[in-house]
Amino acid sequence: MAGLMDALDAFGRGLAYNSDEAKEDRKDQRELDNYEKKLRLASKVEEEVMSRKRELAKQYPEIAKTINTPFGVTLGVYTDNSVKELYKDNEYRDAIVAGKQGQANLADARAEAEPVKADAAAERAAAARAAAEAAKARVGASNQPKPITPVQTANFRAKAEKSAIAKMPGRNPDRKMKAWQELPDEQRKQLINQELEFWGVGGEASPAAPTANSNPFLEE
Amino acid sequence: MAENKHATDISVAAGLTAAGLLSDEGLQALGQVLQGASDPASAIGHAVFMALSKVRDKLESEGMSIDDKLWVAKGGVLDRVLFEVASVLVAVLGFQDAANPQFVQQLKQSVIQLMEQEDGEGPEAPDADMEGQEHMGGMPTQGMPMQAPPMASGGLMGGM
Repeated sequence: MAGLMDALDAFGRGLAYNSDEAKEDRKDQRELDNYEKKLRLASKVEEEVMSRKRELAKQYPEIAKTINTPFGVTLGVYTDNSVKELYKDNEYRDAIVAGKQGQANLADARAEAEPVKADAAAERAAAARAAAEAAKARVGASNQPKPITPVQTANFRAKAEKSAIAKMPGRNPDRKMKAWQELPDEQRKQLINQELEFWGVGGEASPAAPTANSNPFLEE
Repeated sequence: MAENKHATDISVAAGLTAAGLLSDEGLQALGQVLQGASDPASAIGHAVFMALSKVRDKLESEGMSIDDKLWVAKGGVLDRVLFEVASVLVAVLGFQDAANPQFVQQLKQSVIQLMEQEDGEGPEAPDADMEGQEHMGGMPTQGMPMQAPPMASGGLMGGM
């Protein structure tokens, strides 16, 4: 049993070792180790070069002026001053002095190698803008007031009439209905219109009636 | 981190090359190459190219290869090396023409051409301006170093 467990354990470790994550981790670690190795080497080499320059400067003083000059900055130490013209490109100089030459190189390399991606991105952006415009138009269209149907008119008037009847004096619904029927037509229409206006259906703000003059529910 | 990695790679390659060219042997080789050269830019360019090639081979053998673009990119390895070489040519060897930006451009073009020849055709193509078989690009045969200036930091790589 113990042997079986050990075998299973080893099998599991093997699976873990060969998993994609483990492989990725080992690759990242190798890259990091390599990078750190290069960092140490770069530091060592730079010190070596500076040391050599200091040694040369004892015999050739002109060299001393370049020791503390960041690479890329114009020297400007020679009698004819023509060396000042040596590296005149400010962008390139600033990129190096600021430690950004890697970014510049990377940007150049990317621009050189993958110009197609920029075009594809521009196309996608244009398509997205066009889609957004079309969607806006659709939404705008759907927000416009819809034409009022005769059925809607009839329904609203029926409800307004019912509400007006309910407001007639008295408690008995039959008495209210009787009182309503005894009213002249004009008065009944007026009471119904008042209900509609009260609901805001007959007002200017009503989406069903954009303008007071064109209120379809109000009867002349 | 990618940007720092490129900067580090450039520092490593340029530093190793500059260390070799600034060493006593390197300076001696540069002086010899300049002596009597009809085309100084081509002659110095050849010496710089040899030094760069040696560094590149060494880095590859140590498993620290560098992206090809970094060698000739703006602000890359070649630019840094030429910066050091130009200052040494003027201050140490007294070659004032090296202070001229046109000379440095010619020097850079010379090295790039040699690199392209190496990548494209293999063996270096003969210079059309050769005066004879004895001369290669105007460099005198007498006293000409048979190999690139040795890397002064020979112990650097082993010390890693």
